[in-house]
Amino acid sequence: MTDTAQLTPTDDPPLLPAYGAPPADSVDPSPREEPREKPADRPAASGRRFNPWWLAPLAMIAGIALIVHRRAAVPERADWKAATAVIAEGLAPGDGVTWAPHWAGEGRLFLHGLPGFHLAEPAEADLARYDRVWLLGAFGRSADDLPAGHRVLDRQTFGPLNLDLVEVGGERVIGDLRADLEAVRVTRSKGDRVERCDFWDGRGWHCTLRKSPDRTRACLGRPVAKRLRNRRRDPHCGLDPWLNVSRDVRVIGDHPRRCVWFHPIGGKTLRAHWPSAPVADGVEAVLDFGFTDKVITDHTRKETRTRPARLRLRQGLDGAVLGEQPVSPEKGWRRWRLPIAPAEGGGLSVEVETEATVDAHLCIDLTLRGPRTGAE
Amino acid sequence: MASTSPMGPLGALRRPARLDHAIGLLLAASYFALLLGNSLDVGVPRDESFYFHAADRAGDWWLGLLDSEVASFSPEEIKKGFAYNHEHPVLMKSLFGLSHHILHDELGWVQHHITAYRIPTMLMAALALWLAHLLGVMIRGRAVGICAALCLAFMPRVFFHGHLACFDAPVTFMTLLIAWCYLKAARSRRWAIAAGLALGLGLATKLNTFFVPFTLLMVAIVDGWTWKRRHGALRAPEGQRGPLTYYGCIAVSMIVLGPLVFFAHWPWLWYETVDRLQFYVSFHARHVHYPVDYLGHLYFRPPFPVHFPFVFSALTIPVGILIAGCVGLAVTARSAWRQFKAAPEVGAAQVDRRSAEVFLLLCLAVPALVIALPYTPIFGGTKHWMPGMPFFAVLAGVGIERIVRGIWPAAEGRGLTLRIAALTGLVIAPAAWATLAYGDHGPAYYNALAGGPSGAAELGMPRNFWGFSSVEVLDELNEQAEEGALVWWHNATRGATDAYQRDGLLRKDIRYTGDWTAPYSNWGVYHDHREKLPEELDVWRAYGTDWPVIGFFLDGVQIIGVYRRPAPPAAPPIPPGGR
Repeated sequence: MTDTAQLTPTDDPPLLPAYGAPPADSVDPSPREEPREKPADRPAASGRRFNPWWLAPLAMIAGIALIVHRRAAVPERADWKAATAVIAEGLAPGDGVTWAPHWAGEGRLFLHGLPGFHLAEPAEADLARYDRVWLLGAFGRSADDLPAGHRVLDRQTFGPLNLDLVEVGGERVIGDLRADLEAVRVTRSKGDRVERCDFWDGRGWHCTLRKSPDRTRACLGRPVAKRLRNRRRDPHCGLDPWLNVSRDVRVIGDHPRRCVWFHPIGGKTLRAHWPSAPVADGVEAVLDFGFTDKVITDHTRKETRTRPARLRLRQGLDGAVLGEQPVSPEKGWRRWRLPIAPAEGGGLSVEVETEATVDAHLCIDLTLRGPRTGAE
Repeated sequence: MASTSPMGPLGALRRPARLDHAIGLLLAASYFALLLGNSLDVGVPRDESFYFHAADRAGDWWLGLLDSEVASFSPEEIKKGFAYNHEHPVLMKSLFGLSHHILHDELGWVQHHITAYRIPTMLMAALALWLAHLLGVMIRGRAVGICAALCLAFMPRVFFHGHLACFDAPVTFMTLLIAWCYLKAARSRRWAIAAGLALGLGLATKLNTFFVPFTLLMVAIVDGWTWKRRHGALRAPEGQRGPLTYYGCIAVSMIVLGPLVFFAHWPWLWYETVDRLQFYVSFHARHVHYPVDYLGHLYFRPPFPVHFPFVFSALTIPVGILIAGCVGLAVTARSAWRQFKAAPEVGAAQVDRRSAEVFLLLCLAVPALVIALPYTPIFGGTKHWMPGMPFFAVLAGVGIERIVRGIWPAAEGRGLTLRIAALTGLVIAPAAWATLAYGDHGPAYYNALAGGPSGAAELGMPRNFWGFSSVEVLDELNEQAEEGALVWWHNATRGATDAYQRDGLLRKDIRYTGDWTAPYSNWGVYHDHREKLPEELDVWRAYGTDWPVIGFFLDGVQIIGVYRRPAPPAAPPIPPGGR
């Protein structure tokens, strides 16, 4: 007998009968041979008690049912298309369009030309920019998930997709720094030395240019292929890609936030004066802010390099300080509200200071809000 | 005297018959055909595109051996062949390269470049079914073997990796091969040589196999201990062979042949050996940590959650296979534990089962446990503990059999077989559907426990993997993109787009702009990764729109979003007060 012949001892019968072969009836060294599992000992054999082994196939069938159920909740692309077509037909000034949950974004394919916006968490939705909101709800989401204070005007379904038209309640945005950014005056200063940031690149204001304004503008207007060719030599047309004040969208608190990039500089005061801010009695300033996740948590360093910053709201250009808000280097999109009153000189200024420039990736969203009136 | 020697403790295992081999090979051949036919539906991930490049270099070097004018063994030639991507051994890259050169370039049997590179992986993925089947046969019988092979075949993520000219499916096969040879060598000294060679090939495939000998050492210890309990001493009686003999042979073989094959297969190590080995080891020992999106939390650095591989497995193995596997696992673990506690006098056959059970359990557990360590890089998701999946498939086979025997305790013969077949159908049919429906996008597949891909999105689980999904938008891009379109491909590398273009899947005039070039492109192909979200925002910022024009969505969840710049750039206006 060779070594390999020992693999199959003659007294070791198959654990299971071969197909078509007579059943094995001798010793089976498998776990089923353990005394308490012998057929005679099993209550299930009597048929009087539920045999728990049935749970396994039942669970498998439940798994199939679950997945069938889940797939039935998936909207077809045609559902999104049909729903957005209805929105386009019924759209009115002051309307916004959004969808939930945020990861179910197939409807974004059809939002071109519509006033779409991102809704991170329906329960925390801030709809104050709109009079009415069209909410495309998939996977069981609907306007019912919105915070209280809004009214559902209409609900339609497109397959498993809900389309709700919501009349927005509560406060109304009457001034938006991001929308008015072209009208804003940006400066950065240290002591008496004030530097004007007065070059507009199409998205925001820049303080320093490596070329003349005209040449910079010409560079920005070049065809994409040419920009690509010059990418290594002149990637940003001589503009600083970081130290500017621009319309932006950044990942803050895990979600994309529409905001104004407001990168503070160590030892300097960065100021955006918003002369056309509709300051009036009863108006509140709402400042949402946060450092980008990228510099706070989403990196491989042991700690963030971002240092604390301080936001300040001021009446007019150089008027009284309305309030100050520390910005700690922590993850999150935070809100600061404060009432404001009209002042001489008009408008409002927002300032930021920090001790270190590195990774000071701050983004803010400043709006002025008042009570919602029927005329709006 | 062999004829009088008692069986080794693993000796109660069955020996597969020719029919078993035939069944295993039939399953393997069918699976290979399925993978082959599906090859171009699976996109090229980042790593694979690098391996294509490395494969051609390595393949050329091996072919150079046939050319008397090439000084193949010179440092220059070796550098030419193997300097690129020298952080991984070259067995698979060489096979990819040779397959491409011979099957595509020389013989023209395989029409597409991508498929030609991938054939060695597909073969190994298919042969893994054969080995899983044989393992099932050895441990429990033919029915379990067949169930094991089917369960392994129809895990969507395993199916996905079974296509790629990467190392994960091959190393799964190699792990199985080493384990198989070890089982044989535990009762045949001649197989010890095969075990050593298999380890060498495993090491030549990917670093994961480094852990396999340690796993098997633990099995050997348990087995030796069993022997000692039964016979009173570790050493076999005079004239007989016990575990010391067999495991001694295996150990010598693995220690000698393993490193030897590893060293011999990799010409890169033949010069500056110490430095290059040192680089190889340190590259993996200090591997950079990539971000991991897991249960709604983005991990950028360790410690990583210990439960990561277990929860991930629970959410990505089709539910039927998962249930059967868990039953098999519980039955096997319970049996191993009972026999561990049992007195040595219990029947020899029962004692004999123990090592096989421990073997299965450890081979399943160790790959996952290595990843569960808080400081192990875990960026690859399930593929990094995929070598444990064949053993889970065998346990699923064990579980199916056990469930049937639990439900119908009196069933025997054909009736039992039919019932096992029916339950196997219940397990495999939905898994096969899931594999065909989601297998091309394996990393996006989640089972019913997660709620499918959409449920996983809700849970905050990742759904993409380094750029392979772009294959889904090529047709639409071909239709819509303007002549010479500048495309930012995000995670898809230039190697991947070149491969698509070579195979006619992508128009040749479409241009690749490079990494982080969204502002310098007219089209952006964004692959949905949570940690890459800022790059999608780069597109929104550069193009001035948040809305894609083309997309690939799986169960309503974005996998790919394709953006188009709505208007060419224009010189900005000068607002009042500006200059």
